[in-house]
Amino acid sequence: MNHVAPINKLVDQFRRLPGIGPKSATRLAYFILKADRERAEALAQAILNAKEQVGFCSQCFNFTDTDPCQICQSEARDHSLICVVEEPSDVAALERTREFKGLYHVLHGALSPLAGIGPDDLKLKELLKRVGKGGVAEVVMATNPNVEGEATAMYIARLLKPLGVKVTKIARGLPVGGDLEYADEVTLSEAFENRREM
Amino acid sequence: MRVTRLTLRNFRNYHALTLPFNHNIVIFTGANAQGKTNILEAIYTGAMGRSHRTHADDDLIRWEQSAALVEIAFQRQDIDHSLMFKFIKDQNKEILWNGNPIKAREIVGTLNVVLFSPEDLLLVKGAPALRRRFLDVEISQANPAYYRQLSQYNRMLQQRNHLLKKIREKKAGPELLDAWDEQLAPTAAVIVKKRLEAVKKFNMLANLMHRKLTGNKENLSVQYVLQGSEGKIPDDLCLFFKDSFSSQRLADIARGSTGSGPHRDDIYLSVNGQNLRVFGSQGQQRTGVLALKLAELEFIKSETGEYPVLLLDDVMSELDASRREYLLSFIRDKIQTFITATDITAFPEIKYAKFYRVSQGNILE
Ligand SMILES: [Zn+2]
Repeated sequence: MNHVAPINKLVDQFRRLPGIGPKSATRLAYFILKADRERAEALAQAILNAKEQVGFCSQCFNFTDTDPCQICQSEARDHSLICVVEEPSDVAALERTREFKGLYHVLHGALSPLAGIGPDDLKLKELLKRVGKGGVAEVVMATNPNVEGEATAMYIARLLKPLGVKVTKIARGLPVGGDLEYADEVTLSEAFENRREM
Repeated sequence: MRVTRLTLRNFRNYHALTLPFNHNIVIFTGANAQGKTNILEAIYTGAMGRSHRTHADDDLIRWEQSAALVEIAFQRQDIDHSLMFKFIKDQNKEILWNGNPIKAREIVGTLNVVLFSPEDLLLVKGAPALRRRFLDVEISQANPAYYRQLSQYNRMLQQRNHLLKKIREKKAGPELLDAWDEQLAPTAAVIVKKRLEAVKKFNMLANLMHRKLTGNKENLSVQYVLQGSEGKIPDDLCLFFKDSFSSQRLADIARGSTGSGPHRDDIYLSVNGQNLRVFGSQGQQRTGVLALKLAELEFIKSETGEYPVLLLDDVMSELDASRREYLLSFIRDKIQTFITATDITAFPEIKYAKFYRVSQGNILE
């Protein structure tokens, strides 16, 4: 523990970030203290700017600084195809593969009774509304290949089927129990190509 | 499978310890609470990714220390491997297999170990959960995919049970159950199918062991008991579980837990057609336990091509001289065995072993 209160405060803030342990938090704090003032200001400003300028797309609920987002606006993309993912980071992972040419829908989580997450805590009604408007031919489920992601995909498939839309799921070539975000690009591309109807 | 070297740093009551193992039988003696079992625990942790005595990794760290280290060098099919565990207080443990990071759940099947501890003496007499765990640990080591499926099943079950309670409290709708049952049923079917295959093989092995132990007088039979099947194993297990999960849904909601599935099954043990659990004498039950543990060694050998390492924790004194002698003649040259005992002079049949005295976290030759 350091005896200088502002340093402690900074270390404490870093520690609250995901994946940062006490050692990394201290290292980051000292790095910033040693850097010149401009650098620290640039970091602080970047954080504030991102927080102020980035919001959710009112259609797909991905992060965006325009509404609708770039992807939802794009004429080059197939608007009859929607890929459902759990988190914004999953959109980024899928975009890296350049395999998918449709639109996305970010649920912001997955069903988990243990974590107290039910259908109302996800962007589910919004998805139903979106599909209900028409013009959507296929919805691809790309939730995480774990127990919670599977349950979420099955639940959504049951809700969508009465709307007469084709529901598919990306193939299970993905490591079971893992996160979509960490799957490599080739695996993800193949999972997409081999998607199956649910 | 052979453990060639064990290194401990701040593990339990050991400050720093490195032991090379050149003998087939290694015996640790000493009074209680000196640290004999801690050595076996370290090897077991290497095999299963977690201790058999605690769920909290922090318990493994020596008093007032912030981290512990366990390094196990072993040979699998005559090839050298190493496993390194770093336990850090309040953090997830780090595991390296041959220098590469590996997750705890991926470790099962890397170093195969059979543990025989006083708790196993209840294998025949005790609750079904003990026999299920026995079966699960045995199959997992021979078939790591089984371990992953079992963990997934347990996770689904936890989620489903939590959901059942919420439905009971009217905090969630019963239609949500479908999403869980749709994957629970096929996973349950896969688990039971693998258990049935294993028990079939295991039945033959345990029967053979038991006959040898009783001079061909007794016939041990091991059978899988599928809850709710009325003695007949259905052809389509997936359909069986789908039906049973949906037909028992109301009862499950009322109870707040899932009443059927592999987590409720059992193994039925009988000797000469009599229920060993109910009608067996204590001596018969002990022989049954020993036959099951020996069959476990043979099972892993037949599935992986190699005998596992055997850990005998404080059980020698629980077996009589003739059963001990049989056990020792069984393991003699073929199975590397680590034994703990308070007083080894009581077992004159143990020869050709390496002896260590354990006293307050120190090892003396
Ligand atoms: Zn959008």
